[in-house]
Amino acid sequence: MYILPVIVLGIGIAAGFFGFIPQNMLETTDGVIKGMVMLICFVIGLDMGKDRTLWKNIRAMGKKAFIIPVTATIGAVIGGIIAGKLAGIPLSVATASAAGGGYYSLTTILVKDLAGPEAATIAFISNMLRELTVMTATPLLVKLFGRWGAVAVAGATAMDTSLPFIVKNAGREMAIAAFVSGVLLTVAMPVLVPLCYKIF
Amino acid sequence: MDILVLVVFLVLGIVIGHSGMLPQIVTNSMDWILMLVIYILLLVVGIEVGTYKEVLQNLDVIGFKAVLLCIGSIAGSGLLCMAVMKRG
Repeated sequence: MYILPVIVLGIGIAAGFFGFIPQNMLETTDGVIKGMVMLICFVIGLDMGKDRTLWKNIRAMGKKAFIIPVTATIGAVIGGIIAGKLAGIPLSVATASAAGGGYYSLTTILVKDLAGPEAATIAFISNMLRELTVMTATPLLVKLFGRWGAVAVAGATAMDTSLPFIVKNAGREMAIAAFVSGVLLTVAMPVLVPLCYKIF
Repeated sequence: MDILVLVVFLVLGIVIGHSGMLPQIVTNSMDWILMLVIYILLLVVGIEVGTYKEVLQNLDVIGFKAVLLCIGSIAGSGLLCMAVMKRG
Protein backbone atom coordinates (compact mmCIF):
# COMPACT_ATOMS: atom_id res chain seq x y z
CA MET A 1 0.00 0.00 0.00
CA TYR A 2 2.62 2.52 0.96
CA ILE A 3 5.63 0.99 -0.66
CA LEU A 4 4.95 2.80 -3.92
CA PRO A 5 4.83 6.32 -2.39
CA VAL A 6 8.10 5.65 -0.57
CA ILE A 7 9.71 4.43 -3.81
CA VAL A 8 8.44 7.46 -5.75
CA LEU A 9 9.70 9.84 -3.07
CA GLY A 10 13.00 7.93 -2.95
CA ILE A 11 13.49 8.22 -6.71
CA GLY A 12 12.83 11.96 -6.45
CA ILE A 13 15.30 12.36 -3.57
CA ALA A 14 17.99 10.41 -5.46
CA ALA A 15 17.41 12.44 -8.63
CA GLY A 16 17.67 15.68 -6.68
CA PHE A 17 20.62 14.54 -4.61
CA PHE A 18 22.76 13.44 -7.54
CA GLY A 19 21.85 16.52 -9.54
CA PHE A 20 19.97 14.81 -12.38
CA ILE A 21 17.49 17.66 -12.57
CA PRO A 22 18.50 20.82 -14.46
CA GLN A 23 18.37 24.05 -12.45
CA ASN A 24 15.75 25.76 -14.62
CA MET A 25 13.38 22.83 -14.00
CA LEU A 26 13.90 23.08 -10.25
CA GLU A 27 12.85 26.70 -10.33
CA THR A 28 9.42 25.82 -11.69
CA THR A 29 8.59 23.18 -9.06
CA ASP A 30 6.98 25.58 -6.57
CA GLY A 31 4.51 26.76 -9.19
CA VAL A 32 3.73 23.18 -10.20
CA ILE A 33 3.05 22.24 -6.57
CA LYS A 34 0.69 25.18 -6.04
CA GLY A 35 -1.34 24.41 -9.15
CA MET A 36 -1.60 20.73 -8.39
CA VAL A 37 -2.61 21.23 -4.76
CA MET A 38 -5.56 23.28 -6.04
CA LEU A 39 -6.47 20.44 -8.37
CA ILE A 40 -6.25 17.96 -5.49
CA CYS A 41 -8.58 20.11 -3.37
CA PHE A 42 -11.08 20.22 -6.22
CA VAL A 43 -10.97 16.45 -6.75
CA ILE A 44 -11.32 15.71 -3.01
CA GLY A 45 -14.39 17.97 -2.95
CA LEU A 46 -15.81 16.31 -6.06
CA ASP A 47 -15.34 12.88 -4.54
CA MET A 48 -17.14 13.87 -1.36
CA GLY A 49 -19.90 15.75 -3.15
CA LYS A 50 -20.93 12.86 -5.37
CA ASP A 51 -21.17 10.36 -2.48
CA ARG A 52 -24.89 10.30 -1.59
CA THR A 53 -24.63 7.65 1.13
CA LEU A 54 -22.03 9.80 2.92
CA TRP A 55 -24.56 12.56 3.66
CA LYS A 56 -27.07 9.98 4.88
CA ASN A 57 -24.45 8.43 7.17
CA ILE A 58 -23.45 11.80 8.61
CA ARG A 59 -27.08 12.60 9.41
CA ALA A 60 -27.64 9.17 10.97
CA MET A 61 -24.60 9.53 13.23
CA GLY A 62 -25.59 12.98 14.47
CA LYS A 63 -23.04 14.91 16.48
CA LYS A 64 -20.84 11.85 16.94
CA ALA A 65 -19.89 12.22 13.27
CA PHE A 66 -18.15 15.45 14.19
CA ILE A 67 -16.85 14.65 17.67
CA ILE A 68 -14.27 12.16 16.39
CA PRO A 69 -12.66 14.33 13.67
CA VAL A 70 -12.79 17.49 15.80
CA THR A 71 -11.22 15.86 18.88
CA ALA A 72 -8.73 14.03 16.64
CA THR A 73 -7.55 17.35 15.19
CA ILE A 74 -7.53 19.40 18.39
CA GLY A 75 -5.84 16.55 20.26
CA ALA A 76 -3.20 16.14 17.55
CA VAL A 77 -2.46 19.86 17.61
CA ILE A 78 -2.12 19.86 21.43
CA GLY A 79 0.11 16.78 21.21
CA GLY A 80 2.02 18.49 18.39
CA ILE A 81 2.64 21.56 20.53
CA ILE A 82 3.98 19.46 23.44
CA ALA A 83 6.11 17.24 21.19
CA GLY A 84 7.28 20.26 19.19
CA LYS A 85 8.46 22.00 22.37
CA LEU A 86 10.26 18.84 23.56
CA ALA A 87 11.86 18.10 20.18
CA GLY A 88 12.70 21.67 19.24
CA ILE A 89 10.47 21.79 16.16
CA PRO A 90 9.01 25.21 15.32
CA LEU A 91 5.40 25.09 16.58
CA SER A 92 4.07 26.18 13.18
CA VAL A 93 5.66 23.13 11.56
CA ALA A 94 4.79 20.75 14.43
CA THR A 95 1.10 21.70 14.51
CA ALA A 96 0.75 21.76 10.71
CA SER A 97 2.31 18.29 10.46
CA ALA A 98 0.19 16.95 13.33
CA ALA A 99 -2.97 18.32 11.69
CA GLY A 100 -2.25 16.12 8.68
CA GLY A 101 -3.95 13.22 10.42
CA GLY A 102 -1.76 10.54 8.86
CA TYR A 103 -2.48 11.63 5.29
CA TYR A 104 1.23 11.81 4.70
CA SER A 105 1.40 12.37 0.94
CA LEU A 106 -0.68 15.53 0.85
CA THR A 107 0.59 16.80 4.24
CA THR A 108 4.17 16.54 2.99
CA ILE A 109 3.31 18.51 -0.14
CA LEU A 110 1.44 21.22 1.79
CA VAL A 111 4.15 21.57 4.45
CA LYS A 112 6.85 21.73 1.78
CA ASP A 113 4.98 24.60 0.15
CA LEU A 114 4.66 26.40 3.51
CA ALA A 115 7.95 25.72 5.24
CA GLY A 116 10.53 24.06 2.98
CA PRO A 117 12.22 20.66 2.68
CA GLU A 118 13.31 20.04 6.28
CA ALA A 119 9.79 20.65 7.57
CA ALA A 120 8.42 18.49 4.75
CA THR A 121 10.65 15.62 5.85
CA ILE A 122 9.32 15.90 9.41
CA ALA A 123 5.75 15.97 8.07
CA PHE A 124 6.37 12.92 5.90
CA ILE A 125 8.00 10.72 8.53
CA SER A 126 5.66 11.66 11.38
CA ASN A 127 2.49 11.14 9.35
CA MET A 128 3.66 7.93 7.74
CA LEU A 129 4.57 6.50 11.14
CA ARG A 130 1.11 7.45 12.34
CA GLU A 131 -0.54 5.45 9.55
CA LEU A 132 1.91 2.60 10.07
CA THR A 133 1.07 2.54 13.79
CA VAL A 134 -2.64 2.16 13.04
CA MET A 135 -1.96 -0.64 10.59
CA THR A 136 0.27 -2.60 12.93
CA ALA A 137 -0.98 -1.75 16.42
CA THR A 138 -4.75 -1.15 16.35
CA PRO A 139 -5.36 -3.64 19.21
CA LEU A 140 -2.97 -1.64 21.39
CA LEU A 141 -4.60 1.65 20.37
CA VAL A 142 -8.04 0.27 21.27
CA LYS A 143 -6.69 -0.81 24.66
CA LEU A 144 -5.10 2.60 25.31
CA PHE A 145 -7.71 4.99 23.89
CA GLY A 146 -10.88 2.92 23.46
CA ARG A 147 -12.58 2.15 20.16
CA TRP A 148 -13.49 5.75 19.37
CA GLY A 149 -10.04 6.95 20.30
CA ALA A 150 -8.51 4.39 17.94
CA VAL A 151 -10.60 5.82 15.10
CA ALA A 152 -9.40 9.31 16.06
CA VAL A 153 -5.78 8.15 15.89
CA ALA A 154 -6.42 6.74 12.40
CA GLY A 155 -7.32 10.30 11.39
CA ALA A 156 -7.77 10.90 7.69
CA THR A 157 -6.65 7.37 6.86
CA ALA A 158 -9.72 5.89 8.61
CA MET A 159 -11.69 6.12 5.37
CA ASP A 160 -9.42 3.90 3.29
CA THR A 161 -6.03 2.45 4.27
CA SER A 162 -6.76 2.06 8.00
CA LEU A 163 -10.41 1.05 7.65
CA PRO A 164 -9.88 -2.73 7.46
CA PHE A 165 -7.64 -2.66 10.53
CA ILE A 166 -10.21 -0.68 12.52
CA VAL A 167 -13.05 -3.00 11.51
CA LYS A 168 -11.01 -6.03 12.48
CA ASN A 169 -9.82 -4.78 15.86
CA ALA A 170 -12.42 -2.26 17.01
CA GLY A 171 -15.48 -4.01 15.62
CA ARG A 172 -17.65 -3.98 12.55
CA GLU A 173 -20.01 -1.39 14.02
CA MET A 174 -17.17 1.16 13.95
CA ALA A 175 -16.88 0.99 10.16
CA ILE A 176 -19.32 3.81 9.33
CA ALA A 177 -17.99 6.07 12.09
CA ALA A 178 -14.44 5.47 10.88
CA PHE A 179 -15.34 6.13 7.28
CA VAL A 180 -17.24 9.35 8.02
CA SER A 181 -14.50 10.64 10.33
CA GLY A 182 -11.84 9.82 7.74
CA VAL A 183 -13.71 11.59 4.95
CA LEU A 184 -14.36 14.71 7.02
CA LEU A 185 -10.69 14.89 8.04
CA THR A 186 -9.53 14.31 4.46
CA VAL A 187 -11.67 17.19 3.24
CA ALA A 188 -10.70 19.49 6.12
CA MET A 189 -7.03 18.68 6.02
CA PRO A 190 -5.92 20.83 3.03
CA VAL A 191 -7.32 23.77 5.00
CA LEU A 192 -6.29 22.68 8.52
CA VAL A 193 -2.60 22.21 7.71
CA PRO A 194 -1.96 25.75 6.40
CA LEU A 195 -4.32 27.17 9.03
CA CYS A 196 -2.27 25.65 11.88
CA TYR A 197 0.92 26.87 10.24
CA LYS A 198 -0.44 30.43 10.16
CA ILE A 199 -1.89 30.37 13.68
CA PHE A 200 1.15 28.97 15.53
CA MET B 1 -0.62 29.48 -0.55
CA ASP B 2 -3.78 31.32 0.32
CA ILE B 3 -6.09 29.12 2.42
CA LEU B 4 -9.10 30.85 0.90
CA VAL B 5 -8.10 29.64 -2.57
CA LEU B 6 -7.99 26.05 -1.31
CA VAL B 7 -11.40 26.42 0.37
CA VAL B 8 -12.87 27.79 -2.87
CA PHE B 9 -11.57 24.79 -4.84
CA LEU B 10 -12.85 22.35 -2.19
CA VAL B 11 -16.33 23.88 -2.09
CA LEU B 12 -16.44 24.13 -5.87
CA GLY B 13 -15.65 20.41 -6.03
CA ILE B 14 -18.33 19.50 -3.47
CA VAL B 15 -20.99 21.59 -5.25
CA ILE B 16 -20.18 20.22 -8.70
CA GLY B 17 -19.89 16.68 -7.37
CA HIS B 18 -23.21 16.92 -5.54
CA SER B 19 -25.04 18.47 -8.49
CA GLY B 20 -24.27 15.47 -10.67
CA MET B 21 -23.16 17.89 -13.40
CA LEU B 22 -20.17 15.81 -14.41
CA PRO B 23 -20.65 12.61 -16.42
CA GLN B 24 -20.12 9.31 -14.59
CA ILE B 25 -16.98 8.49 -16.53
CA VAL B 26 -15.27 11.63 -15.20
CA THR B 27 -16.28 11.18 -11.55
CA ASN B 28 -15.33 7.51 -11.65
CA SER B 29 -11.81 8.27 -12.84
CA MET B 30 -11.27 10.87 -10.09
CA ASP B 31 -9.63 8.45 -7.65
CA TRP B 32 -7.19 7.49 -10.32
CA ILE B 33 -6.42 11.11 -11.23
CA LEU B 34 -5.95 11.99 -7.55
CA MET B 35 -3.46 9.16 -7.08
CA LEU B 36 -1.54 10.14 -10.20
CA VAL B 37 -1.32 13.79 -9.20
CA ILE B 38 -0.20 12.88 -5.67
CA TYR B 39 2.55 10.62 -7.03
CA ILE B 40 3.78 13.32 -9.40
CA LEU B 41 3.85 15.77 -6.50
CA LEU B 42 5.68 13.32 -4.24
CA LEU B 43 8.30 12.95 -6.95
CA VAL B 44 8.66 16.73 -7.18
CA VAL B 45 8.88 17.12 -3.39
CA GLY B 46 11.43 14.30 -3.30
CA ILE B 47 13.58 16.09 -5.88
CA GLU B 48 13.50 19.25 -3.78
CA VAL B 49 14.35 17.40 -0.57
CA GLY B 50 17.22 15.70 -2.43
CA THR B 51 18.73 18.98 -3.55
CA TYR B 52 18.88 20.19 0.06
CA LYS B 53 21.77 18.00 1.12
CA GLU B 54 21.72 19.24 4.72
CA VAL B 55 18.29 17.64 5.23
CA LEU B 56 19.63 14.20 4.27
CA GLN B 57 22.82 14.69 6.25
CA ASN B 58 20.78 15.44 9.37
CA LEU B 59 18.22 12.71 8.76
CA ASP B 60 18.92 11.06 12.13
CA VAL B 61 18.14 14.26 14.03
CA ILE B 62 15.14 15.12 11.85
CA GLY B 63 13.87 11.54 12.06
CA PHE B 64 14.03 11.59 15.86
CA LYS B 65 12.04 14.83 15.92
CA ALA B 66 9.47 13.27 13.61
CA VAL B 67 9.09 10.20 15.83
CA LEU B 68 8.44 12.42 18.88
CA LEU B 69 5.92 14.42 16.88
CA CYS B 70 4.18 11.23 15.75
CA ILE B 71 3.86 10.00 19.35
CA GLY B 72 2.55 13.40 20.43
CA SER B 73 -0.11 13.60 17.74
CA ILE B 74 -1.26 9.99 18.28
CA ALA B 75 -1.51 10.41 22.06
CA GLY B 76 -3.24 13.77 21.72
CA SER B 77 -5.87 12.54 19.26
CA GLY B 78 -6.54 9.31 21.13
CA LEU B 79 -6.72 10.78 24.62
CA LEU B 80 -8.89 13.77 23.76
CA CYS B 81 -11.35 11.71 21.73
CA MET B 82 -11.59 9.10 24.48
CA ALA B 83 -12.13 11.75 27.16
CA VAL B 84 -14.86 13.56 25.21
CA MET B 85 -16.64 10.33 24.24
CA LYS B 86 -16.70 9.12 27.86
CA ARG B 87 -18.45 12.31 28.96
CA GLY B 88 -21.05 11.66 26.27
